[in-house]
Formats: sequence, structure tokens, C-alpha cells
Amino acid sequence: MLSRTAEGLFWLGRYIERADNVARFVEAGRRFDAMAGASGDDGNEWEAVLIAAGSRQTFPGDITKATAEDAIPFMVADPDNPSSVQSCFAMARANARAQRGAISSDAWEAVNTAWRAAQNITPLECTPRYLARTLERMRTFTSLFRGALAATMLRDESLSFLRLGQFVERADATARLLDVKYHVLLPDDHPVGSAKDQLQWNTLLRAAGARSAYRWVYRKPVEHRLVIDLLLLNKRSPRSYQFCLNELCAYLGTLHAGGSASQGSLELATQMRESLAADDVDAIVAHGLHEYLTNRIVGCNRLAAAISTDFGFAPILAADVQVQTL
Amino acid sequence: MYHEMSDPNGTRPDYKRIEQWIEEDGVDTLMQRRQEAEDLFRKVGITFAVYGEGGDPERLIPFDMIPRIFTAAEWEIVEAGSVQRAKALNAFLADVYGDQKILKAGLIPSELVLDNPAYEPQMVGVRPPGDVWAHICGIDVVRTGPDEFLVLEDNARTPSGVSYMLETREVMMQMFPQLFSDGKVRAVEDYPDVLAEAMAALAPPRCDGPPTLAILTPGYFNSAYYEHSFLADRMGIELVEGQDLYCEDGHVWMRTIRGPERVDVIYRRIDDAFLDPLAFNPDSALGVPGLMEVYRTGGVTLVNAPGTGVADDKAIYIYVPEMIRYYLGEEPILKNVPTYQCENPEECDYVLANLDQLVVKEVQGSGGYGMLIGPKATQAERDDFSKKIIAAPDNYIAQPTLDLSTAPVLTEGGIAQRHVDLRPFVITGAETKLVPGGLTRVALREGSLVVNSSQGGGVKDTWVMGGA
Repeated sequence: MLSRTAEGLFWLGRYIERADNVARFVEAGRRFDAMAGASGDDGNEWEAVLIAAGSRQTFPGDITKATAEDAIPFMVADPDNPSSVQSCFAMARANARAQRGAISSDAWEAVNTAWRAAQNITPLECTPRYLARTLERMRTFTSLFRGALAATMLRDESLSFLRLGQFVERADATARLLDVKYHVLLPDDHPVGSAKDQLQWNTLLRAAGARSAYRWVYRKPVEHRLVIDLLLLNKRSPRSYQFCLNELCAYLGTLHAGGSASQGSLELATQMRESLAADDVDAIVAHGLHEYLTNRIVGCNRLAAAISTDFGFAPILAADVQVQTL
Repeated sequence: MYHEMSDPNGTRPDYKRIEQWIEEDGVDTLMQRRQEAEDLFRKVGITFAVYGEGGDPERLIPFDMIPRIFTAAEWEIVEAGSVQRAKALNAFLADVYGDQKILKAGLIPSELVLDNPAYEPQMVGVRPPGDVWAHICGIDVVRTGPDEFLVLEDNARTPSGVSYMLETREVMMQMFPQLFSDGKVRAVEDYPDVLAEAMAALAPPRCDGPPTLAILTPGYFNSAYYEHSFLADRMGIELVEGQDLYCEDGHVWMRTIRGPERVDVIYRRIDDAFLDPLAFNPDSALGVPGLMEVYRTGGVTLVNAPGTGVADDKAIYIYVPEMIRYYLGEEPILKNVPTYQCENPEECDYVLANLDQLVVKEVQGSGGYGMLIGPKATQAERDDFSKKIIAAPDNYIAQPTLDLSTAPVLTEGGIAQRHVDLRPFVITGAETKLVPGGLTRVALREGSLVVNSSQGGGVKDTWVMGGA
């Protein structure tokens, strides 16, 4: 396979996953917003969500004063925001089109259909009245894409690179999503463990699509330690950081088995997986969750850089490797 | 005027199924289903960007759902004629870059060939594998009567449009399977295999083992990119850009995730000038430095060969019948359209005096740009064009406006007649062949004679009927 093709597929996988995750961030913001309204206090949840989505630098205007009215259209349908849902689908489609020959017709049609729909999101569809439906529709497209991959792609190198992109992005996004909680600073009269704190964790679980999983695994009311466990360490949760690393190790193992210029990415992924397996929730919380998550995000960027070196991607990746301000 | 679908006695036999289909479904229903067809095209992503027009790069070429049909007997003429023509063009190319016998025999003026901007001096003395130069030839054929097929122009560089031939059929079979149920319409879907087989048959001398094939594209932003990726996909070969390739040790290599892999036969969809910055345009970022050196020394086969443009030049066109007689010892099966060369003063005078009855084209132009359709032009436009011709007569040729055949199309106002042409794609590998079909282009404006997609033309599915 051409190195350029591998790179395009890697980014296609990343951008589709990113579209999904940005929609999840917005969904989290929408729910935080609704909560803030109900309890009457003036939260800064949109700032938290924008920072988690890596938009601290690109958001036009004062991010500390971000509101639903400007944050939602920016994150969903702003062509000038490189990580809006719309832009993610546009980038995914550009990569898919450039690598049309390496993906199945079903996968291409899923991306192309998603792109067309995302191009046509109206301002009305970004208003609170329609937002939930819009986000759901956009996320359905990413499911369609994943389904097309699962059902129609050969189990070969093409799929491996798509999956690498998907899981690097998801590991990164899961860490960022958890980090939203750090940025949604609780006012003093809502201490940790309070009803409001509980609600916020619940919201993150829902945004991660892991609320049912939580119930099945723990059979307990929502508790922050267990949410962290589910989203970081649990081996069976498909969104957990640990799960993503396991998948990454498996795909890298297969790819490297066929021969490559260097082995750096497999070594790094294995090392990251082992280090994570040794962690437990209490140590993470004691260490400071935000700092821990920052290191996980940096880890994802390093891994992406190592993959690009191993398989001869163009050095373009370097620009994206810079750790965005957290 | 010749109507493809009917004669004064009624509908032609092969069009009966079309007539019945339109009657049963009704024009209104079919018009509604046009949207469905458009959605299918958008879904597969087949779009066409028009050079120099700006606008929407995701524009669709309009698709008319009524197929254009060739009877088995008609197709025999088109097929034999196109194959004959492609053979003659290949013989001509081998000759003008070799012994130049046809020039020495005085059948074609030497300066017309050797001073032609499309003549590539770097190809002199080169012998491509199999002596095949124009592996893929698009022969643009029009019709003026029952058995009167004329060649409007030849395309020996990198003719495009074959993906439309394949996709229009795909869409028609998906939407109207009942039309194909009796198996009478001949299949076109093996075109990619025929092309791959032809390429594999012409591996370069230094290739050992089965050759690795690739398509070289200028990239994503090229208007025909969809076609490049579509063909690579169907042929099961890599679609490469210049940046993926490099030359070393007398071979061409592509950069892969496992390191370098040798490439032996390249179907290049980039123009000669951009192929190799060391040999041609030094500013080209699309090409591969050193490619021509590897090519000349037998390390790689290029499809089509560089320099084939001299064979499809509009000034050379008038000599193609002569080439057929000279190289093949046969009479041309497909005739040329009578052509006046403005560089010849007498013919130029005739052209200037009869502009209102002629179509004037630039010798080097393509895609319907820079042409004048005399009868449709205003007096002012004709006067303007006269000045251009007088200023540079060598640049222009003129042809009478032809009474092109018409085929039915669906319009808001019901079924209407529009002019059509056909571009069949002749492939030459170990032998020269034609897949039974082609790209039928249709002028969608009433009365218009210009079918180029860049000028608002549309496409139709082309049916070749099997024998009785």
C-alpha cells in the first residue's frame, strides 16, 4: 500500500471519529446548559466544552463568555472552524475521495452522504429546539460509516489504518471528554459528591454513550471513581482509553508483522498499554485527574507521530501533533 | 435529419422497448425519476469540474435517461471503423518518430508534423513496447444518415469519459432492470479488465515477472479525478501521484508502507508537459523527475506514450484517411468531415466568405472552447472571429455544419429531439479492440450542436444490441 494512501485512510478514520466526538461534546454542553438553566446559576459549560474540543485558539471572541448561541453553530456547522462537525466531515470526505480506491463503495457512500448532509445544516438546526435531532443525525452517519467498514471492508491493511486513526482519535477524545469535568468548575456551594456534581458525571457518561454500560458493569448509582474507571481503565468498554490502546496494539502488531521501516509505534503503544494497566482509579484521582488526562492526550499525539514515522507518512502530521492548549 | 429512434414508418425495432417503456411509465413519472438518477450519481460521487469556468466543482454532468441504441449491424461499422482508425494512428506515430516514411513519400507535408507543437522531439528513435503509442484512443463519431458515420476528431492523448460509460449503465440497470432482463444489451463492464490486460501485455524490456501496473493522476483537484480513482479501483491497481514515485537504478518505484515497490506500466493521466520536470516543464510538481530517462531506456511503459498529441492534432486530422490507405492498405470505413485549412490561402478565403455556414475550430483547442458556430453566431461575433482568423490563419480549421442525427431526450415539455455524438474507447495491447459501448454525449439545448460536457452537454447510456 502507498504511504500516502495509508496516511489518507488514517486521517479518514480520525476525522469520522472526530465528527462523532465533537457531536458528543456539543451534546454534553447542551445537557450542562439545560442543568445550569434549571438550577439558575451561571455556569461556564460552553467554555469547558470548547476547551475540551481543542478550540481555545480558534474560537472567535472571548471564550469565557461563550454561550449556546455562538458555541453551537461554531462547533456544529462553522466551515471556518477546522474541528466543527461539518469541517470534520468535509476533511473526511476529502481524504476518502483521495483514497476512493482503497475503501469499499459502502464506506465511500457513507462518507459522501454524511458530507452532503453536513454541508446543508441550517442555522435553525443549530438552535436548542432542533439541536438534539441534528446531533443525533450527524452521529448516525458515523455509525453508518463504522457499520460499512465492519460489513464491507476486507480485513487488510486499509482497514487497519482506518482503525488506527479511529482509535487514536477516540482515545484522545475520551480523555478530553473526561477533562470537561475539570473545566466545569463547581461553584463553592456544590461540593464534590453533591447532587450537581453527580448530574455532571451522569452527563459525561451519557455523552460518552456509556450510561447503560455503567449500569451493567457496576450496578450502582453514578460515582465519579467508577465513571473514571469505565472511561479510562475498563477493558470491555469500547470507548475506554484502555480499550483503544488494546485495539491499537492489535492493529499495529498485524501491520508491523508485514514489515516496516521502524517499529517505534508498536513499542510505544505497548508501553502505554502496560503503564495504563498498572494504574488504578484511586492513584489517578490522588495524582490529579486533569494532569493525568493531559499526559494521556500527549501520549496520543506521540503515538500518532510514531505511526507516521513507521509507515512513511508525509511530515504534514507534525503540525497536528502539537499539543493543543488544555 | 436522421432520427435515431424513428423513421417515417415509425419506431425502429430496437427502440420499440424504449417506446413501450416511456408509454408505460409516462413522461411525468420519468421526469420525477430523474432526481433519483441524479441522487445515484451524487452518491457514487461522479461529478465533473469544468476547466476555466469556476463554479461548482461538484457539478454533475446532466444525465438523460433515454438510452442511445446501436443495432448490431450499425455497431459493426463503428467498431471496425474505430479499430481501423486507431491502428492507423499507431502506425503513423511509430513512423513519424521512426523512419518517417509517410513524410518521405510526400503524403503529409513534413513541416505539418515536425514543426507541430505536439510533435515531441524527445521521442524520436524511441520504440515503446509492442510499438504501441496510443494505447487508448477516443474516436469521436457523429452520424448524418442510416449508414453515414463520420469522425469528428480523434483523441490520442489521454481521452476521458469512460467512467461515464460504465456508471450510466450502472445507474440504468439499477433504476430500470426490466429493460435489461432479456440480455440483449451487450455488457460494457469488462472495460477495466480489457485495459489492464492490454497494459500487462506491454511490460517494458527490463521487467521480470508479472508487471506491476499503476495509474498516475495529477491528484484530487483534477476534474477527471473521479475517473482515475474509479478505474484504479476497478482494475485493482494503485492510483499514484507524482509524489508517490521516484526513479532509481533504471526503474520507477512507489513509496509504500513496506518501503519501495517497483512499477512497470503506468497509465498516466497527466499531460506530457508535466510528466517529468527534468525532461519537460521544469516547474511541474505533478510529475516524476527522471521518468523519461527510465522510459527511454526500457525501464517503464507509459500509456499513452508521450508525443501522441501529434496524431490527434486538428491539422493532421485531414490526413488520417490517407494514413489508413498508406499503412493498412484499406479504404477508410469511417469518413472524415470535410475540412478547410485556413493556413491555405484559398481555403481561408472560402472560410471567411462562408463563415455563416461553417464551424471554425482552433487547431490546438479541445473541449469546445474557442470555436465559432457560424450559423448560430451574430454578425458581430463572426466579424470578431474573422479578425482572429486573419491574424493567425494557421491556428484555424473550418468544417461545414453537419446535419447531426438526433435522439430523444426527456424535457419539461415532454420528449424532444437533441443532437448526439459518440466517443468509443479503442484499446490497443496485444491486439486492438473496442468494448461494445461508449460515451454518448447529447447537446441539451434545443438546436445546439455542441455536445461537450464543458459546454453544457449531457450524457446518455449507450446500448449496443447483440446479434439476432
